[in-house]
Amino acid sequence: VEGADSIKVLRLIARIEREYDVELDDADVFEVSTITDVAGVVRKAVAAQEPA
Amino acid sequence: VTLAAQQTDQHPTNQHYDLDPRVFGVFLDPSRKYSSGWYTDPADPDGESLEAAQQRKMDLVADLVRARPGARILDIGSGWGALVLHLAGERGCDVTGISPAPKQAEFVTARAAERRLAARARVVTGSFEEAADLPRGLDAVTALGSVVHMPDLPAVFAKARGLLRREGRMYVSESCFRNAAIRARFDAVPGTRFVRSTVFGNGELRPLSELVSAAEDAGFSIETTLDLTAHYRRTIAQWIEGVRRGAAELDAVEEGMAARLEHYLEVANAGWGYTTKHYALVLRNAR
Repeated sequence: VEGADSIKVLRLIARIEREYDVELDDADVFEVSTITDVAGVVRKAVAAQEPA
Repeated sequence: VTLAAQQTDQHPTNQHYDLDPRVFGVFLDPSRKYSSGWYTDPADPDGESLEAAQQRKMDLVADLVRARPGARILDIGSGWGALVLHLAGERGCDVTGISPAPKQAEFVTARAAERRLAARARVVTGSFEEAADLPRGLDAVTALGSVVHMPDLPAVFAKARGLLRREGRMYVSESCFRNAAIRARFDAVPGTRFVRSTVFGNGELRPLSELVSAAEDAGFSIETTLDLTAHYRRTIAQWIEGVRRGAAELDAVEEGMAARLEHYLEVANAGWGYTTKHYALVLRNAR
């Protein structure tokens, strides 16, 4: 992901963090480049939200 | 003037700041302060107006450097003179601003005359690093978002400290990379390069630790650090509203100007907390 596209991804990540009230690791935040990656990040966010 | 124009006869910082002053009148607050405001609650979308937040911010800076009537102050990167005129007009200080952009100096000089502040508010056109005849024995030095444009930070802090009296204070606020690892990773990516080269000329984002380290090495005591990130996010969101409201006016100055400005501001706002932070430091010339 390059330039303006990476900005869109970052805003998407910020929205996911707000919606799920989670804070993702930098590795997840900055490695995301495909829709599949985004789905993985959402799954991780949902999992983190569930009580242990 | 084109945002992306390569104008080698200008100071590199001037590409952006020496744009037609009308551009900045459209999306900034009336004081034309081009740095973060200070909000009661920056997360509250119904909080202070941009204008009120900028006035509160200038009062905060004045309080942090103990700006008393008659205090002699240098504002590095004085822009359109918001802080110079505020300190002179509201606090009775004797203020010199310095900026490399000639259009800014004309603008501030005219405003100072209008407000009958010419006796204690003035602007020097030039680069702080190179300027030789700056006032000395100062009570305070302020640098709001300007050291980002200066490649040799230790030299900047050493020079600023040399202009201060003992117990004088320096307020410096700056956009920073969030940490050293983020800097290593993002210094060269297109989004960073876009902001740095297209808009700014020189633009050296550093992690806070590097600002602190350079301040210590220059001999300053560090009195305060403040995280202004959320405040800057809110400020830029309000600038974007201004760009949208004034899009027709901006495009009349230059076709496509509104879209370019909005894109730049959106890029800057997307990174806060992820790649970038905005911090303020108060440094004291004392043991």
